[in-house]
Amino acid sequence: MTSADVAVPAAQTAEPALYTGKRAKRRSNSLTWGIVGWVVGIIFFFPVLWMVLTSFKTEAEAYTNTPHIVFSPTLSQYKAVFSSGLWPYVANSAFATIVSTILVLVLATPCAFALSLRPVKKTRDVLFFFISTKMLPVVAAIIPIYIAARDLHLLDNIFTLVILYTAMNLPIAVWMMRSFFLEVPGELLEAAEMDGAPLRRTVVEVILPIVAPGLAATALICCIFSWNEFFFAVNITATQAATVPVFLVGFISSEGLYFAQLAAAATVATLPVVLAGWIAQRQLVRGLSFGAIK
Amino acid sequence: MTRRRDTRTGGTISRRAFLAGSAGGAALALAGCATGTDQLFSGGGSGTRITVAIVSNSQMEDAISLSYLFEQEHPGIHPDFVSLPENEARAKITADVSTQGGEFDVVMISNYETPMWSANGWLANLQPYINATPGYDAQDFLPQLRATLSHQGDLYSVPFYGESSFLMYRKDLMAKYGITMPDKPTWKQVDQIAETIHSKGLVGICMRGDPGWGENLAPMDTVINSYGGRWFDPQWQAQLTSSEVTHAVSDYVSLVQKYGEPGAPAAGFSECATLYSQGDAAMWYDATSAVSTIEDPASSKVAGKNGYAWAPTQDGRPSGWLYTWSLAIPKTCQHKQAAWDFISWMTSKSYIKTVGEKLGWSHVPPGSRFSSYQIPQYKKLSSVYGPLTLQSINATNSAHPCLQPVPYTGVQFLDIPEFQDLGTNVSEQFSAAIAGSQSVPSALSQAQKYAQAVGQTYRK
Amino acid sequence: MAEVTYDGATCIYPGAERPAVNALNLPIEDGEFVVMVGPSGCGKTTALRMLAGLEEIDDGSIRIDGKDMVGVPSRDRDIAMVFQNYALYPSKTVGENMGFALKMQGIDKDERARRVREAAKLLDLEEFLDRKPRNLSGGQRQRVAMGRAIVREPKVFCMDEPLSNLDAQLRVSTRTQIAELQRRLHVTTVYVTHDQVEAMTMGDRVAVMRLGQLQQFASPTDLYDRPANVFVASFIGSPAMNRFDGTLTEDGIRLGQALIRPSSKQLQEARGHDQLVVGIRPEHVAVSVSGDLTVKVALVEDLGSDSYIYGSLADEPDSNIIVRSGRDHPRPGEVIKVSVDTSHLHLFDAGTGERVGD
Repeated sequence: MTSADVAVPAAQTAEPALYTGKRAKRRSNSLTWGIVGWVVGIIFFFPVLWMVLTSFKTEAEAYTNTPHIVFSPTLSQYKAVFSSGLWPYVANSAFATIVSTILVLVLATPCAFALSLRPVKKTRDVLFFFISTKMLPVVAAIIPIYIAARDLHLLDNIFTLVILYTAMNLPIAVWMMRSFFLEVPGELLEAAEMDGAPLRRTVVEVILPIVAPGLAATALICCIFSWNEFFFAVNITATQAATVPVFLVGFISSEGLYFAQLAAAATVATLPVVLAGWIAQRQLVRGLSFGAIK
Repeated sequence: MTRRRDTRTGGTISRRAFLAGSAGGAALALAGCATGTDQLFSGGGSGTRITVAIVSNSQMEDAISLSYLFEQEHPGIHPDFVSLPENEARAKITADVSTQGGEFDVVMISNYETPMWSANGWLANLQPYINATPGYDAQDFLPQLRATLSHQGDLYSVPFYGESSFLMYRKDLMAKYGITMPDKPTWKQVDQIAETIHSKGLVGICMRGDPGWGENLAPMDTVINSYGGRWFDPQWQAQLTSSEVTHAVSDYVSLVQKYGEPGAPAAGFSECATLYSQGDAAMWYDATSAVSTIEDPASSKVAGKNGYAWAPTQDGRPSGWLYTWSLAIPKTCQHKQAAWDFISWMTSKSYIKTVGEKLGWSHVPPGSRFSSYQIPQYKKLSSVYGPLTLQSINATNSAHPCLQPVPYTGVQFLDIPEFQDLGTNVSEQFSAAIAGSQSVPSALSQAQKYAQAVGQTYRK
Repeated sequence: MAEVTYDGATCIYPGAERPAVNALNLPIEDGEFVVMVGPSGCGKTTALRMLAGLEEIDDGSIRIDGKDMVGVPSRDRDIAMVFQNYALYPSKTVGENMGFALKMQGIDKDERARRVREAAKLLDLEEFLDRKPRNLSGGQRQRVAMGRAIVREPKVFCMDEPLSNLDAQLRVSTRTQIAELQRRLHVTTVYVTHDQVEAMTMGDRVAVMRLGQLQQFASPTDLYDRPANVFVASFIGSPAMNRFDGTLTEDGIRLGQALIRPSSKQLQEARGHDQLVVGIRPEHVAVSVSGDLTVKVALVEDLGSDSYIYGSLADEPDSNIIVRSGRDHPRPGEVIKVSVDTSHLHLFDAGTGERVGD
């Protein structure tokens, strides 16, 4: 060891670099980006905010030429919405969403497992096929689907929607679950193998707990897509199986004022999904970014 | 990832599981007829269920809210409603009726569909039912409505409410600026009045600019008719670049551009209704049914301040349009009598009285029956616009809408199936012209191309 | 507890040019602690995984207790494996991790708990039984991985570099613990590492591997004193053995300008191998005024107890030599004379690399 000089370097007595130079620049940069982030966030959120505000206005208020941010709120629109028989629609939506999501998870999980942890020769082709089904706009397929449903007497049937939503969400679920399965370290499977676990128990006891956030995120995404789905619902259902989006659109009147009531109905319609997203937001963020990091 | 050449065979699904799965799938497939969670969890009620597809306008919503009265009168019939905005309702109903899907027992159509569909045999002939229903009094319907909804003398749909178009204006503003509004104004006079109002800083006149065969094309077509123009000559040659049509469209476009509402290219009925009922415009040329909005004190600031004049013309002939929302029974309906019971309830004289009594006289469906306007309360309420509404409807001539002979019927539309597409495409050209992104001649020449394409199919 | 025999075991990956493990023969006795060591890519891990059943046995066989394991799945081999990254189940507690294999075997809860507690006591894990792996330190996780293997009371332990993720100090202490444990439990253990110090201190016998081929399978002492070829000689021992190119002459071996005189027995055994690689360990080279070799000192590592002089032969500037010395050592840049203890010469044929003589 060489002996060090005892004299304190002059630089140490100068002004600390905290408020000048590079560190200061970094701080002001993050402030700028913070502001930008807030502005962008508000811009994106504004239509939703406006919708909720409008739902508390009277129709006349909702149509003023210069939009009013301050007004005297009323609950009359919500009263009207709740007395307009929305519960059967909510029940239909809930049924279609929940059942189709369960089906999707039951089908997608083993499929994704096969495509990730036990890959076969045609894995890439299978994956591409899955995602290619999403490349066809739904509109292109509606005529044959409608005619098939009609001939099978499956029009206005909630199970038809369940089947359609399951098919619609399956490719997304497979892709998402697969990326979560790929995160499972291969060693764990080997350890389970050595511990004598058959495939079924390995999946249930070892793998599923690890991909649980991924499962939650996938389930939530499927729920959101099913809940909001309009095109199939409006074309395939009539009175018995109509879902919430179809109910919503019935508030639009060609002759008459309807903004406020529609806003109230729309707020009520989006509430379940927003709530679900809020509760599961940590899982959702983790699940959606988990695969992206690696 | 470890390389693993599996010596074991992949897990084969057990036979039992496979059979159970297929059985479940088959059960699902046999779920059969219309099933919602209602049916799943509570089981359907007894009696006949009829499915009614209607458009979600306020008068129809009123009917839904009063439908319990119908059920009281007819305890064995239960109507289920599908209520959608005009475009979606039209699409769904057309899809069902044209494919003979049989989803609906009662459909709300208009005088656009009725002539075509009755000729195609898609609708049930309502005349026998009408004749068998005492007190229904189909003659009470305005004759022009009856004419457009009939096929070979029989009614194939019955009117729920009807409308024509007229000019609505602010009496107080006219008085303030010393303007006299003639009872049957010409477009030139309207232009002058709008100019005067505009110079005072208000919107002179509201006119639709929003694309859509039922939006800006409705008023635009009446103007074209009034200037002597037409879409096709009897040989189905398109006439959209003729001098009359060019003159008409140019005048409409320049009127809106000079003295019209801001945002005109996207202004449809609701936008104009909002603007006018907020008091920001002096005149509004649109449907007679607009009175429900502008005369309703709850949503309009100008209720009671309005005057009404005949639809403006160029050549003096009545130019108002003719439209009616009507109810029909598709041929495929399995419960025609029950469907008719509902239709006759919803279009009967007693229904109109009921609506007035229970919901207020401003809710009466306008322009369908003479007798409505005889009811004292409604007569009083509608005294300003009622008579003109009836006269405007009666003055229309759907069979011969244009000055020159034409191979089609329909005042503000052409009663051909292609018109939904053709009209929307042409209306988009007009909207662009209003926006200034196209000149009127170029808009018309593009419209001419569209029309020629359609005309060609008819020439064969 | 069982015998393990690798009998010409081969494993070749599809598309690879050479086998990962090439006809490996390792007769391992019951209760023996065998270490497989070698540089990366030598096939030691593959060989271990072949035993565990995680890699295919493409040719030859592996026998446990005389039973051929070709085609037998891992779970039927009664082998417990300790993975390099521990592979603990993150959603299970330590106790559940350790008891998982027993649960799979259908052993009832109480018996499971008893065996887990026993193993936990052995490994000082009793207070952690209810914790999840993410709340444990690296060393604790390693012990859990070992506990998971112990609890199963298998025929064979397979350990895949279990110490490589620990810090240096922990590595040393855990090393002794593992060796002690194995001695107590007396279970046949196959242990893979790249660290030759671990190999030398822990194994009853050590298998040195290179590029899929077994180089030598012997006790640590034998490996050290009588390496079978140049590779083993330079791999085992730290600092590495000095190696020089030499030519056999009538009375000795010529190393550059110098002449080394091995024993006459050794010289005789070397007959016929004209080009040799001469090996001598640093501790058998000493600074000596009367030495045969002249060395230019490049740098000196002073380790406290002794020091190592790094340099090159004066007449061959490209050569390398390491000499062990004491506290009193030359400075870098000096030119010194060193003598060689000819009774500890290792001779290898320059062409084949094989050991010449005994």
